[in-house]
Amino acid sequence: MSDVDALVAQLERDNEALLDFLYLCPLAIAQLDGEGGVEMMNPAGARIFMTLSAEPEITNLLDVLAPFAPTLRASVADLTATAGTICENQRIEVGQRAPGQALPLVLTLTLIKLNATKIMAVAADVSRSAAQERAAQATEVRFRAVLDGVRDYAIFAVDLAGRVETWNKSAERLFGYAAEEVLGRDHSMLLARTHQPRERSAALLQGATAQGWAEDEGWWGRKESTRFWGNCVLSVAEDADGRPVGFTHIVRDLTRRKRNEDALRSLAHTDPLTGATNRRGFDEALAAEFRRWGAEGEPFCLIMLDADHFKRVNDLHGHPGGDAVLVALAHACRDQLRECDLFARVGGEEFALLLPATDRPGGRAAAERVRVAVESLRVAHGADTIRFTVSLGVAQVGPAGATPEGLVALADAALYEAKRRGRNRVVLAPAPDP
Amino acid sequence: MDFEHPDLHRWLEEASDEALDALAYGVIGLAPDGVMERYNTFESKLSGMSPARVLGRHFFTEVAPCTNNFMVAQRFEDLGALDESLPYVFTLKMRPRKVTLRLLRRPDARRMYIIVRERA
Repeated sequence: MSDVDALVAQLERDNEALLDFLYLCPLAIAQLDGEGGVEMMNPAGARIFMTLSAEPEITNLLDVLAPFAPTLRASVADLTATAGTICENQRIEVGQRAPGQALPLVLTLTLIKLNATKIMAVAADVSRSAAQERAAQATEVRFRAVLDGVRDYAIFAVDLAGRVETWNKSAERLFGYAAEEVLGRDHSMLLARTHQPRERSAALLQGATAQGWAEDEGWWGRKESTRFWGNCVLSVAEDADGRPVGFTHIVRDLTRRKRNEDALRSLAHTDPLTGATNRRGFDEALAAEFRRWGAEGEPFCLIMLDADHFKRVNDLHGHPGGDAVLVALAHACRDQLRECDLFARVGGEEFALLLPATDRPGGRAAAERVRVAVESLRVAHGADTIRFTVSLGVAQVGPAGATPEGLVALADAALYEAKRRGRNRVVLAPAPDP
Repeated sequence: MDFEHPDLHRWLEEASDEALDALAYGVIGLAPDGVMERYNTFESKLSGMSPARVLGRHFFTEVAPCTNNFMVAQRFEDLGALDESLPYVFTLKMRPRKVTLRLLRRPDARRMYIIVRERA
């Protein structure tokens, strides 16, 4: 073999190795003419840029990129210097392009003008790191949302049985207990007494044991018997060998947020004239009461109330007079009811009273108190004093009124009977079967 | 043998290397695991790569990563039987070239094939 032949063979091998190198390069590399026309491109370039192209070909890279980077062509035109950087690692959000694509496509693009007729383009597929960034941002946003409006937070640890093991200043401040009052005691003492603290704390520990962490939002109790609405995240604490030794709690006071939510909710559920719960609120509360009855079997009563001869009040005193009567009626009812009772306006002059944990005698007694209170009302309206009465029908949940509609019909029938018997009286629906 | 012949796959299975080298289109034959077993002269000329360099390599990851996508590699992976032609761009010797790819796979065949023809 002559020296020349050997040289040619060597050049061919070098050329092949160079091609191989470029074929395998994971970055997209392209050489463009001054207008963006593709002169040379490696396979990674074809793979990455083909995804962007509507056609199965790439003639001009700037055309292909235009829908995703609308200012790019202007940037190329703006660069009047013969050479310079057009863009450097510019992020191009391409998004979902292919049916089987796992992640939205994100590219970084660098364009460098070498002279009037030559532009080098380098692009990298950064979809994966972009997705990780997005996930990190979402976590941060969520974390901030939880922290927003947080007045205070407490961190404490309990052992596997739920006994408090560590109690620091933050916990002392939030709960009002000193360390010696809490250490060694069951942490259910920190949950509001009215909301099944034992069950809730046990459920939390169980959840954390099963999946490594648990989250809960609900009422917590302070030493001074006040309560606050808190978010609690607890995670399993492990020893050096990875064995669970207890649980770490982070409790945040979200009372302010909860109050805002409740205010909005009550606004949507309140009758503007009387301040009573509106029809929608009543329907929801009645449904909730039925669920509780189904779960716990505790009886409750529904009272339907109607102002007697209300049309006459309106005729004599006009609608403002009628309104004044309804407002006074609402106040009188409120005064006779417990905090847990619901007082709702369900029609023009018709109201519903929902009394949890109340049987027939209790329901009749409440209805009678309301009747007497209304009878003794003197509503001042202009120069007039308006007196009026109400009729009430009482029904207890049971076989005869085992659905919201059934119970309402039962109480309505009793109310109708009260009207029929001469008004200003209380009638009890038939007793539920024993 | 015509690029579009319905029985192309069966013919390729039987064809000698010399017969493949006489074709006016590219032939890439892959074992079921994607390792390159056949590479004809036409394809070698197009790509600038000698058979000695590429045979025995995994096609989708070690030779043509640009085909390791839902259009080509994924189709081979997902479908037991495959005979589809699609327009594609190969960057042969760094020049984007419009090609038509015909993808062939049959459960009873020994090899899968990627057939490459230039488009106008």
